[in-house]
Amino acid sequence: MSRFWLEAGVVLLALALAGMAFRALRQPILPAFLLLGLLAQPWTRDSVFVDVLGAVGMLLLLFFMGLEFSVDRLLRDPRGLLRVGVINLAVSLPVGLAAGAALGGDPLGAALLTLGVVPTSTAIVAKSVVELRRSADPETEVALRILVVEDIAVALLLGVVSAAAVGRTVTVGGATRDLLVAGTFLVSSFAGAWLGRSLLERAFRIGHDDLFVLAVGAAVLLGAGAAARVGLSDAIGAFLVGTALGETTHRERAERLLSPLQGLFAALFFFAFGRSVDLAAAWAVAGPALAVAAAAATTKLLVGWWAGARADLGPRGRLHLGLLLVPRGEFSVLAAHLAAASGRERVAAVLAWLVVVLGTLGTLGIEIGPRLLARWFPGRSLPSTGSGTPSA
Amino acid sequence: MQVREHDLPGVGKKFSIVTNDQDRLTVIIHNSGHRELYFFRRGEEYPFMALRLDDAEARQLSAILAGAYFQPPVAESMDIILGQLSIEWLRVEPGSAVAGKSLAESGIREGSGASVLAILRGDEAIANPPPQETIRPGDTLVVIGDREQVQRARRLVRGSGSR
Repeated sequence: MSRFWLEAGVVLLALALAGMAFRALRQPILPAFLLLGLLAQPWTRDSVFVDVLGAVGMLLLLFFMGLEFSVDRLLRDPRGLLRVGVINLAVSLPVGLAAGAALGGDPLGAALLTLGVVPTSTAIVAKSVVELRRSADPETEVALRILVVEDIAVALLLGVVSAAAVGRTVTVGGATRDLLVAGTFLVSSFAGAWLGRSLLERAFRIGHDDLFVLAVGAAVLLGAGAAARVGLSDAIGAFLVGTALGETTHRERAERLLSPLQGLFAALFFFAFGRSVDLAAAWAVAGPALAVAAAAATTKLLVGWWAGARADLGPRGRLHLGLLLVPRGEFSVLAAHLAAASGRERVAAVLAWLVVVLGTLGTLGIEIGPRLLARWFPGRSLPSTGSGTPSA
Repeated sequence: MQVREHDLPGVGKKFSIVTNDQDRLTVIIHNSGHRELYFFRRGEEYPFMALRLDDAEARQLSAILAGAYFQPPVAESMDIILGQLSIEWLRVEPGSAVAGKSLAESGIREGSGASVLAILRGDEAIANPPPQETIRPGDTLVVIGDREQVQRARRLVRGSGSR
C-alpha cells in the first residue's frame, strides 16, 4: 500500500510543479499535464491510480461541458448555429481527411482526426479571456458563441463515431447497427432530458451540499455506464448527464460545488492521456503532425475572419477572433483518447502533438496577437451599440 | 440609459450600457461571482480601463451607487432588485387613484399581486401596514413583488383617480 500512496503523491506533486512552471511562463496548464504524462511514461506504466482517476477526470470534464451547454441557447439561433457548424466542419474536413490519408488510416481514423482538429478548447480560451481582461471586447462574445456550437456539434459527432470506434464489429452491417443504436440513444436521451426537466429539477432538490454532490456523482457515473452499455463512449454519457442537469436551476450549484474536484481530475485526465500515447508513434508522425497543426491554426483564422465579418467586426476584430479560436485542448484529447483506445496509435499521437503545439502557441497568440494588431490597426470608430437583447 | 444583455457562455453575462450622455460602460458578471467594469473612450471599440471586484466589493459598490449611504435629494423613486424579486418605492401623488383609500380598498394586492411592505409618511414609517390603513397623498409605498407585479402596482399607484 505504501508504494501506491507514494506513487500517487509523486504524480500529484509532479503535476503541481509542472503546472506552476507553465504558469510562470504564462502558459495554460493543461498541455503541461499532457507533456508530463508523455515524459513520465517509463515510471507510470502500471499505475492503477492514474488509470482510475484519469478516467474519472474525463467523465467530469465532459460533464462540465454538458452543464455549460444549454438547449435554450441552442434553439435561440438555430440557423446561425448551423452556419457556424457547417463552415467549421467544411474548412477542417479537408485537413482531417488529408492527414488521415497521409497516415494511411481507415475512414474511422480520419473521422476521429477531423473531430480532433475541429474543436477549439473552450476551457483554455475562456480562461485566457478572463485572465487577460478581454471579456468586454466585441470579438470575445462572438468567439464564445462559436465555441458553444462547436462543443455540442463535436460532442454529438464524437458520440456517434465513438460507437463505431469502441464497437468490436468490423463488418459494415455491424458498424451501421452500432451507429443506429448510438444515434437512437443520443436523440432519446436529449429528448428525455428536455422533457424530464421538471422531474430532474425535483430529484436534485437536495438541501445538503455533500448529498447533492453524491447524487450528481452518481448520475454522472450511471450516465457513463449506460452509454458504455449501448456501445457509446462513456464520456458522451457523462456529457449528456451534464446537458440534462444544465437545463435545471441546479446548474450553478453543481458548477460551484464540483469545480474544485474538476481541476484535480482534469489534470489527471490529461496526464493519463499523455501516458497512453505511444512515444515511438509520436516521433514517427512528428512531421505530419506539425503540418496538421499549421493547417488547423489556419482554418481557424479563416473561420474567425468569416464569422467576424458576419458579426460586423473590423479587420482587427476579425483577426483577434481567429486567434481566439486557435487553441486546442479537451475535445481533441478526447478524440485522441478514443483513437488510442481503438488501436489507432498514430492518430492519437498526431492529436497529442496538436494539443501540445496549439494549446501553448495558441494561448501565446491570444496574449500577444492583440498588442501587435493594435499597432497595425488603430481602433475603428464605433457607430452601433451591439445587438444584445434589451434588458429592463 | 440603455442596457443590453449578452451571453458569454463559459464566462458569464455581459451588460453593455450606454448612458444618456453617450458614455459607454460594460459590466461583466462572471460565473465565478466576480464582476468587472470596462470603460470605453467615446467612439472606441476596445476598453481602455478595467476594474475587477469580488462579490462582496461589487455589492458594496452597488449599495453606494444605489444611495444606501447618502441619498441625494433629487431621487423620488428607487428600486432594488433581489434576484427575481424587486422592491420599489412608489410615491403617491395627490391625483393618484389610490390616494384617500384604505390599503384594502386600493386593491393594490389583488390588482397587481405585489405586497405593500411599508408606508413612509414624512418621518414616520409604518412597517407591515394593516389593511384598513388609509393611503394619503404624499405617502411613499414600499412594494415588493416580481418585475411584472411591481410594474402593475406602479401603474395602479401612478394612475389618476378619475374613474
